[in-house]
Amino acid sequence: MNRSTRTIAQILGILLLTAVLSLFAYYIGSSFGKSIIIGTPIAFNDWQAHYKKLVYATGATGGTISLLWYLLARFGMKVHTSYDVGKRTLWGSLGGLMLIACVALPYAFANADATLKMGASIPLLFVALYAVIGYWIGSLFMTPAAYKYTPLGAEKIRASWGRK
Amino acid sequence: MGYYFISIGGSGAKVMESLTHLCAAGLLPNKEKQQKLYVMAIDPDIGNGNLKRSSAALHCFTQFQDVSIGMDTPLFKTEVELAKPFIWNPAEHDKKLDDILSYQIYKGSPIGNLYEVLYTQEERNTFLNEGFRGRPSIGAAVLAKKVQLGDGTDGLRVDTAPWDKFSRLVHQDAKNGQTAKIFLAGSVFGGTGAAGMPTIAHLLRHTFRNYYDEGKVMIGGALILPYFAFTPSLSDQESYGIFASSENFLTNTKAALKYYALKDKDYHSLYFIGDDILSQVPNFSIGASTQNNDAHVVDLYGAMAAIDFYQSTPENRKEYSYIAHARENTFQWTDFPDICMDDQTQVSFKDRFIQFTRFIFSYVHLVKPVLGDLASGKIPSYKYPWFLDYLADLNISDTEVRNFNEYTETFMRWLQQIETSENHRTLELIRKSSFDANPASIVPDQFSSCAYDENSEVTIHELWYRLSERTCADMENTKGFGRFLRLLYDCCAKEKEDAR
Repeated sequence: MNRSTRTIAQILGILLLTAVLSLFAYYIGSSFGKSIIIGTPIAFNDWQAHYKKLVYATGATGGTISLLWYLLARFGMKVHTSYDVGKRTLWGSLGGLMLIACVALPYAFANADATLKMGASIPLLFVALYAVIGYWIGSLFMTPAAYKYTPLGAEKIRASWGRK
Repeated sequence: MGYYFISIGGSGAKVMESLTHLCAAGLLPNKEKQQKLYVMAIDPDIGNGNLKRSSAALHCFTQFQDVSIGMDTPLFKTEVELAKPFIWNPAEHDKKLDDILSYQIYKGSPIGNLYEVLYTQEERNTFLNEGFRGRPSIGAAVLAKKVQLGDGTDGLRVDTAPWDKFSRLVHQDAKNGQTAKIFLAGSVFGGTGAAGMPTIAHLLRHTFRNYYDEGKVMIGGALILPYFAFTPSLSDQESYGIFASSENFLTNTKAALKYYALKDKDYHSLYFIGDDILSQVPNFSIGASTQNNDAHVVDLYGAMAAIDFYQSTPENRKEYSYIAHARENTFQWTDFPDICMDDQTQVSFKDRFIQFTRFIFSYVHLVKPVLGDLASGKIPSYKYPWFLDYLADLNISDTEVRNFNEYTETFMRWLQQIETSENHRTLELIRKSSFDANPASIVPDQFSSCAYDENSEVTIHELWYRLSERTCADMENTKGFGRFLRLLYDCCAKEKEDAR
């Protein structure tokens, strides 16, 4: 597989992973929603319809951040010397941004929309799905070769494959 | 074995330096690891700066040439063996001409009187530690005395080092049906080369005369004609006594060329290389470590002459080669011929040289600066995928690593000198702007366009990418540092990534 094909495959991989994670977020989150709205006059169908929008927004943000890391590593950051490499701070910062988005977006949506009652389980679910699986685990497998050991744990994961 | 190279004097040493780099780049015509290059130097001035520099490159090369680089690559494909001792000093240490020719024994006899007429008191009483001081007459006498009859035959004393092994290897080649190709390089205008080139060739021919006549031993030579000049100061002239003078170069050359035209019957191929514009050597030196002249394009042509000779056979040999270049004041890639390999393939000098240059540049720029810190754990290894993939177990103090590091510096210095030492001519091979102020570093933005007339896709970033994503082409026959060097070399090929 040449580099261009691999790039396209990996970008599609990130988009596909985000879509799959969003499905999980929707269905698992919906099951959490049933318990969140207990004791409130909110109908589950109404809550679910509003929750769907939240999943769209968080999924889009998560996908964008994952894709941003990939595109920066693939096209944005150029190596000129042996010292301007690694970029783990950038990778970590984007991961931090993802964490903030996963926590902040649900509460922001809940504040703006009274129908979308929020519990701690939804942000935790988003963190687990988008930040941990989508961004961190995803970047272990879908980071361009020049930065392939930058995501935390990549060294161990790739070592277990025999590297390369 | 097959190839033999004997450098004679300072100019010969400079040709040897160029040949070392071309050899490392895989530009000798032999098939992989099938022929060795046996190298020795003849110089009474063993501390000669030129010789030291070229010896350094050569010694480094021999120390890392055995890295497991794998098969099907031109890189380091010619194994080099050095004579032991590497430098043969015909004059010995702290000896004058009187001592070497045993003047005291002949004093007062007709031979002694003749000797007194032929050599001045100053020539007889000068220590020869710094060479023959530009006096071929001294060199010829010393060589004739030291390289003398052996075993009752008219030839070299083959029972003493380093000639004993040299002779054994040549015999071995001839018996195995190989042609031993012996190439000599030296100047015709100085002392050691001018004396040694005809004398050594003559003695070699007589030592191996049977093989010579059968075409199993071939002798070639690069005769370096004047291409530089120097001006000693008045104080130099007073303090050094006798020394080579560039004013005599042309006269010496004229006499030497007459000799080769009329008398020489020993060489199969002779290459005369010089320049009608003389480069000015800034610091005058009579010899020793201060005689350290920058590498010059003439040296490179001398090494190319050796390669041309090695690719020739008794049937297609040339007696004289005439090298032309397209533009009078410029040397460009098209002025250097392609090389016909032993398997009859034509290899582009330009392509192979550029790939090797880019290989060294990338090592010097990307790898060498961080290798020590990476190996000692001072900088995090996750930043360097190629290190984790190939060099995680590297011991930075391994002989091969240390010597390769040193070699890269000698190559960079040599190349920069070749590119910049021209006073009156331009070299359009590797761009001068590629070199940073420090010779062992490069300007990264110039990496992809470091060579003239070549559009390469290989930027530093592209190279980094290739190193991080590719697998070594020959995992089976490579290991350790050699595997990494093989990968790096292959990554420096100019083709586009998507073409793979």
